[in-house]
Amino acid sequence: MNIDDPKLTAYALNEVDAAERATIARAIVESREAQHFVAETQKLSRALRLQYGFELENEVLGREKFIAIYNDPFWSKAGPLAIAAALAVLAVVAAVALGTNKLRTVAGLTGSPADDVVSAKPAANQSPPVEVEEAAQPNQNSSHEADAGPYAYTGERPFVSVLSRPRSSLPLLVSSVSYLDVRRSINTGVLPSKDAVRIEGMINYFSYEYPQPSGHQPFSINVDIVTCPWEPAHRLVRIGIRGSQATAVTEDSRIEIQFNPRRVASYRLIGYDRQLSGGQNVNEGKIGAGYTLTAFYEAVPLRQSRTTANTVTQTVAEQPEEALLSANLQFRTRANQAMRFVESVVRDNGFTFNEAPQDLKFAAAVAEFGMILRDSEYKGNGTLQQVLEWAQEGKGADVNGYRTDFIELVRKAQALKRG
Amino acid sequence: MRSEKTSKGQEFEEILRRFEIPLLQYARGITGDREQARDVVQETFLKFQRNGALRRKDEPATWLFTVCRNAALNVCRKERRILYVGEELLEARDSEQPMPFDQLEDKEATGFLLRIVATLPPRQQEVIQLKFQNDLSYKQIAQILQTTANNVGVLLHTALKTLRQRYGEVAGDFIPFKPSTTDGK
Repeated sequence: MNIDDPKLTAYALNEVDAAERATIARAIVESREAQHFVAETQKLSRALRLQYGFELENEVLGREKFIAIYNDPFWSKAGPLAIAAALAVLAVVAAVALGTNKLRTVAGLTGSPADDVVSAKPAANQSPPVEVEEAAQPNQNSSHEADAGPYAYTGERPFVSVLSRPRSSLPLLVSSVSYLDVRRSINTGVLPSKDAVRIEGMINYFSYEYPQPSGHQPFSINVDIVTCPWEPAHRLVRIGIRGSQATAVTEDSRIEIQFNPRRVASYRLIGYDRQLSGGQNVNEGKIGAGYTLTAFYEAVPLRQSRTTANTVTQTVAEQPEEALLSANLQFRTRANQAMRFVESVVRDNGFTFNEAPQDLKFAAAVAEFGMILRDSEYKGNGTLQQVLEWAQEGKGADVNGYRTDFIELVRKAQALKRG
Repeated sequence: MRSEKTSKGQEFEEILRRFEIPLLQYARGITGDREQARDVVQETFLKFQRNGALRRKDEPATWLFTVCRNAALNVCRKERRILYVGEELLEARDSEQPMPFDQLEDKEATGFLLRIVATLPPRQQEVIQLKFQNDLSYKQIAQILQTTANNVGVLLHTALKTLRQRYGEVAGDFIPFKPSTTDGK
């Protein structure tokens, strides 16, 4: 494969049609040089996107002047909203006030901090479980949504009982623009509105190292389970997916996490609130070469919850050998239309947060930072100071400085909170 | 229930939020002037509104960048009292615009890559911005630049190659990826 062929660049950027993609993919498998080229092009592409994002943020301050230009009748109606959205100060004051109310609404509707769900309904059949989608519905037509700018506040995903819903579908597509919004806001001296904080986007803004898929596997699924740092009685499950560079794109892919009802009482997918208001199904999508995804579940182990709810399943939970969960990735490749599965069955080896890999620590810091900014009811005992510590422990080599920048951001947020 | 009018207002607001600054940067890249870029983008949005473009379900990006580009080129044409013929104007800027490469000594991460982008020929810069800032497809970019998707592919390929080389030369071990293509060296 000639690496000076523009088709190779087009391939790396996902710009070739299916037939050509398969041909190029086969050629790439043969050539290490081509593989390297594709990987580099993708890295460069990512770096460019990030830098354009940063640049955008620096420009954004001049925006309100610009919006004020639109002084015609059309804007006399929409204008105030637009200007409010653009002027960070106004927007944040309004959104924080509204956000607090909305959060209460959600809490009131579901009535379910983690322990309540676990302890009140361990036997499952009494009443329907907390359905994540339902919990978020009431906010969809909220009259406040315009104040949230491009985001519509939908509340948070609650803990879900494993007995009734052992499987959780993990959305594969994540937009990380939210991190830039959060960063911009804090850098201009205002804490972001809750609605602007998208935790999954923040987590996936950063890149994490996952091993290359082995052999002919198109993906590696990496699961780590450690003590949840903001709620030490819980387990924090990190799911990391990495696509192989040389495998053709797959379609209709989805990932499902199945929790073992004998080991886990309930679980909560961290972040992903916005998805609930969108009409489209983002659980199904394409995974391209070089794809990575990081997601967290907070799991309430059964042994722990049993002490609060003195019912059922006492014996089986004692088997430490039993897996905590299985992660299943379903996919098709272009070349082979049959649905294939990659499954990873994972035991909880009881690792503490201290023993966690650096990347995990850093990502957990980002997640907790997001929860604190949202004033999430699930933020647990974490503080910004701890977020700082975890981020520093997880900073690693940080060649491009993004993690250092994050640490600075947390410090600024700390100062803002104090002020 | 939201009225149709309000919902359109919100839709427009969202489009404005999303494209305003990318368009400003794009226009500034062509005119080389911030104030003129503002005028150009304002004109673009007013046209967008007037043409009822909001009713269109399709992606507004191609429309906006095309109109913005034409307006910016118009400004250049007026300013310089020259006749715009095909690529000439843009190519003419080739010699004035690019920053000498040896000025890039500052290795701070933010903006570093983009300053290298600024050393590329204007047309390549346009393609890079449309692709990586605005996530447009080859086909959309081709429409905006009034060329073929193949040509866009070649422009982008060449631009990225140069970018990688120059980044490697200037940044050395700083960069988060290692350059492998050092043709001509």
